[in-house]
Amino acid sequence: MKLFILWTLLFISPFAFSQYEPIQSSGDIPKDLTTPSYIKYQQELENVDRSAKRRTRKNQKEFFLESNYAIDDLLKSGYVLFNDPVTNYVNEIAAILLKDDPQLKKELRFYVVRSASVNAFATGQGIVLVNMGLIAQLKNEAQLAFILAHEISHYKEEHALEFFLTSKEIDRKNKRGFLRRRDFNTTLAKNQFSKEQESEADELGLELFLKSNYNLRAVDGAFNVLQYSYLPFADVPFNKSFFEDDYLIFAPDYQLDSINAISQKANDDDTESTHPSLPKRRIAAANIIKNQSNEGRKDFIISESTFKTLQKKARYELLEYHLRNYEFYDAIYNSYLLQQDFPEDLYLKKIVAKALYGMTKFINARQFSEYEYDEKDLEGEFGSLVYFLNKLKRYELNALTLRYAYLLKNDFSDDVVFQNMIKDICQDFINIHGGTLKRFKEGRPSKSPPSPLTKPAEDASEEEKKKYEEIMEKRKENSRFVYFAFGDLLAQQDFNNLLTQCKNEKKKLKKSEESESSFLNANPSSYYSKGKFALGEQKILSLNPYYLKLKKGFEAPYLIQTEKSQNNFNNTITKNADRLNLKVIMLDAKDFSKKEVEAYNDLRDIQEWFGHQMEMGEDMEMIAFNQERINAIAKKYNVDSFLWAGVVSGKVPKSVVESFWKLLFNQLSWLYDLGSPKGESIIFSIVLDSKSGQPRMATFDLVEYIDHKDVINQRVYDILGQIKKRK
Amino acid sequence: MNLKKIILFLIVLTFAFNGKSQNVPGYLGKRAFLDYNFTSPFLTFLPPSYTNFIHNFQFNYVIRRRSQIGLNYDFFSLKETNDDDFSFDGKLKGSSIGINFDWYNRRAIAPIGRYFRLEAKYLFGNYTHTFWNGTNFETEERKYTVPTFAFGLGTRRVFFDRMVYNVGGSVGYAILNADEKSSNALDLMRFTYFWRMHMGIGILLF
Repeated sequence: MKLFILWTLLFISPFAFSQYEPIQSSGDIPKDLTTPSYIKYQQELENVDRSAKRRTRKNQKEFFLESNYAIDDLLKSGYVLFNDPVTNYVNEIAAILLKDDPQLKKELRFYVVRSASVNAFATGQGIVLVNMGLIAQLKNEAQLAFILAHEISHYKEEHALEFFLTSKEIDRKNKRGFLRRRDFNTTLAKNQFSKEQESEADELGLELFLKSNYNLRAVDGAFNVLQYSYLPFADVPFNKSFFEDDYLIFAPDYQLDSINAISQKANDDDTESTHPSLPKRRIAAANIIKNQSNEGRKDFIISESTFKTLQKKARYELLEYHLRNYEFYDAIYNSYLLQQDFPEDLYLKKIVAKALYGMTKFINARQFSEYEYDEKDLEGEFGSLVYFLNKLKRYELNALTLRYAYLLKNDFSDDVVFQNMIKDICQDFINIHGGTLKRFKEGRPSKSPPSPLTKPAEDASEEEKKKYEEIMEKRKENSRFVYFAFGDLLAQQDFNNLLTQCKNEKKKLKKSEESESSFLNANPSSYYSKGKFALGEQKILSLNPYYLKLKKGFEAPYLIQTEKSQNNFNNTITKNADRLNLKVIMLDAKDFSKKEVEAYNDLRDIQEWFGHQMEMGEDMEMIAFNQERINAIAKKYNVDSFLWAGVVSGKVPKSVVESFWKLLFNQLSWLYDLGSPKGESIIFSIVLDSKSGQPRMATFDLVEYIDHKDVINQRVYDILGQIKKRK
Repeated sequence: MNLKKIILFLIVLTFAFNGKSQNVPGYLGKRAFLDYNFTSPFLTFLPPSYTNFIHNFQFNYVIRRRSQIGLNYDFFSLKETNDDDFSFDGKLKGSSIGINFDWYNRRAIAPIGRYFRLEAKYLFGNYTHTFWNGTNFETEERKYTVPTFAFGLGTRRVFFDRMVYNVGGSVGYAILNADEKSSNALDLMRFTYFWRMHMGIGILLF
């Protein structure tokens, strides 16, 4: 029976084993992502209520400005998907809900966000965003429809703008009083208003939902999803046998005896929450739908199989999101859950290998504490896995990771990155635990207990006592499961070659460590570039050149000037590259035309990869989880390195004392200063090697000028010059 | 070779070297620039300073990331004002040639930014002064050759990728012989050169 189900799933599954590729956006890039933010802002200014008071109009303009830029930052971050199967499905459900309101349908746009958190939200601009994590958790189409109806109501009632204006009013009125009390009062007041809005969205969302033919029971189901959103999408008991085989057996105490039960009762206290408590929401919703008939209503209007297929896709997607966020426990457990249906799926096994690899690297570098979970804080079966992984000692985890990854070696023989990962794990093992290698034995661990041994009497000879101690020590060692982790591998030539290679590398590493010094100088007092780099590149890929213009005192940013300066900065890079005969491929999320979806997808991957490299800093080297795609992208563009450059600039107040002395002793300098704004700029650049992720160049200049054109031009030319120059 | 020919030659060089710049320090690969500076003593509004300007031409070449060397040429016509009915305004006409070494602060890349300067010049002056000697008016004429040193600082910027602007000041010292120290001419010279400010405009060459 199991085989039959497995075969069926194989047949209908849209993705083959080991070949799953993350969802990519496709088609034309929507206007939401290609229209500059300042243009959107100007268009929105037409919606300002001219009859309102001056303060209200000012607040409205502020809202339109800040919200447009904030939303655009998210839209252009690469996390938002468009024209993919999941987003298209969400749009289809929205179309069902809005079939009687074509005008509203025209105003709204729906996208899916590449995030594991269980959430959806609507913006004042008519964009509704649904997280992939939510789709992974839902039970049916009708639940998604209810959530969309709720979000649509937020937009329709202009809740975002209303909340912003009300918050401003609350802040203004609460200016008096002690600071702490004032903060608490304003927070409470804002939360209260937010709760009223949420209740209104529930009510109006239900009205919209009722007009469709979706099952009314989905409403309560949706609240269940929200209530248990902190849990994985299923609750399957975890057994340590998942990691065991004939050679690797864990002691019984590595299995958690009892887990924390999942709490059945939702918290009724919503005093400090922005949303009404779930019990209150359920009651309110039940009151609305109690007199409605559920006859003929369905859980699926579009297609049940489509929902299930896309939900499976969403669950597969979560795996990489978890890796990206270093949520290793979640990645392993979710893969474990999916392997219940697809036990032979190599992609799922690869995810486990990558998660173990990541965890091992962080633990070896002693930087795991911020990503560590405590099983005592967790509910459900997930706690068992966390307990198991936390129980492993460092060398035990290293051995498990090496074995697990090595056993997949032949399944991914063409995957250079995976092979490098195995080598890296082995290298770490040798570097840190190489001394324990001699304790690892060939053969299988004994499953039967040893025969009892009588302890020698007090008056026994020293030789007898010593022999007894030796036998007991040997039995103790033999009972350590981990020393058989390579029981079969040690008989293989390839594995031994790998160990030898890593031992040799360790010796080389020791010699080079003494002579190398990092060129990344973190000392703030030396924020200036010495111009010593010479990378010898003919071509480089520049991603998302960064620009930020700050107001006086380096506080808030000038949003519109920043955006315009950003465009000029791209031109500055391109022009200076031309001067140097250096080819620069520009990938900038703010600059794509609608046909450049491939570049958009590439940029998304590179950004995630770059973010990972920046996280690693100097203390850790770890192969990025999407390194295979990065290698393919680098090959496609024919580049070896990626450049990220940027400018942060702001005005600073002029010194009165300095002006006075200049007026007294050098009137010409004084005149010059009078017309010249005083400021500071930071101009930085980082070049990373596309294969290793290692920094090849990093410059960080603090300049005593605002971002004058000549200053920026000169610095960009200098940066590109160092990239072009040969040693 | 007179001054006009030198300037013409350098202007021609600017256009001759207007091709793609190499990867060198400077501004977009350009290391050499020529500028004209208008120099005035400090406290310009006080007499006799308001008429005593010095015209200065410089040719600078960026030699390293934060330093440059230069040749400079001044010419001047300095007047002194006497209240005495029996003597007429003395005049010191002359020129100087010198070399300078500029270095920029560590956050700058030459030629943009704040710089410090050390300068050595040879000043060639011709002083004339008419006075009543009791019998008739006599004109005194005397030639001077005076070495001077100065330390200065300033700020330099570039506009339109070609124009160089700078502003600053300097404090100098003229090395005089014992018998030269008390003459009016050298008082004038010393006053004008001792403490001065400048503003200039120039052009990037190659």
